[in-house]
Amino acid sequence: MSDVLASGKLIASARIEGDALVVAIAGDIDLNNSPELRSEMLALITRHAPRRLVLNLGRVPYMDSSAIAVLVELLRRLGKGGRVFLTDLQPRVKGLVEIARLDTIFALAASEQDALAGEP
Amino acid sequence: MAGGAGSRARDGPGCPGAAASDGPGGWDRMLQTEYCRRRRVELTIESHPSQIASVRRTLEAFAQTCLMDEDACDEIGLCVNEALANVIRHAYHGEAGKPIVVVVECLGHGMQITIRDWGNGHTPRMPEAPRDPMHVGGVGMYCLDQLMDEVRFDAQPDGMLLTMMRRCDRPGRKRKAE
Repeated sequence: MSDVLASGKLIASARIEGDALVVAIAGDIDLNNSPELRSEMLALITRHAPRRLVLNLGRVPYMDSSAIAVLVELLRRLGKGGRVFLTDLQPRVKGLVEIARLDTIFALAASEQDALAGEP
Repeated sequence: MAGGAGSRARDGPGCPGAAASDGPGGWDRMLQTEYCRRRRVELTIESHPSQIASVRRTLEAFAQTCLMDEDACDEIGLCVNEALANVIRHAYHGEAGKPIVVVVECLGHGMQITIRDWGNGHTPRMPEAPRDPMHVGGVGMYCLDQLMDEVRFDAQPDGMLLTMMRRCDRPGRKRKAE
């Protein structure tokens, strides 16, 4: 395990575990700050080229469609065979994930540990 | 207007909280419904993404006074968020400083929200259900379509008027258990 980014405005922590990049995000995400999240996450993916991306959203009470667009782009950037895990979803975020049917393209897990352990 | 939504409530005092002390059909609820029937709030903001959150939170709080359940309040907030983002991104092409007027009214049977802009006047295309989750665009409009009871775009000579209605008796979507 290694910390690759300790803190940021939206990224509370980031580390590498095996082939996974594990990132904890914090705060509401909407059109006002989703471009910032996009650039920070794309920089991490470009730098570390993970096969799996585990996003801990436990400290994200709210997100909108602009955040959804970022998540889908991250999945695309991982390339063929790449997977994005969303963990620790708060109720509002989970509701949006269901509405947008993201549960069909992302793996939802109760915790980072569950995501890292394999299939949720 | 920068730095927060300007707002004013019209027609009487603010509604008491949504929690009725004597049950869902009791006297408190009747009073609250009567209050809310006369409630109207108008917010004028500038077209900048930093303005969205304050409007969303204001309307979520307003929805509580209209006796919406918590999930319904959240869904209304999301729809307002998405509608404003659509105006900023598409009607105004991301240009800041343009006016947006949001009016919310509790009509007794429901909550009506109108959003007026002076942008390009183009009517957004509502995506078809079920949506392709890998398609990035259209999530916002899809939310409006799924979560509001009525959505109407009326082109104006100088912009667009969006009217959304959510019934008071429509509960929020029940979120799946973990």
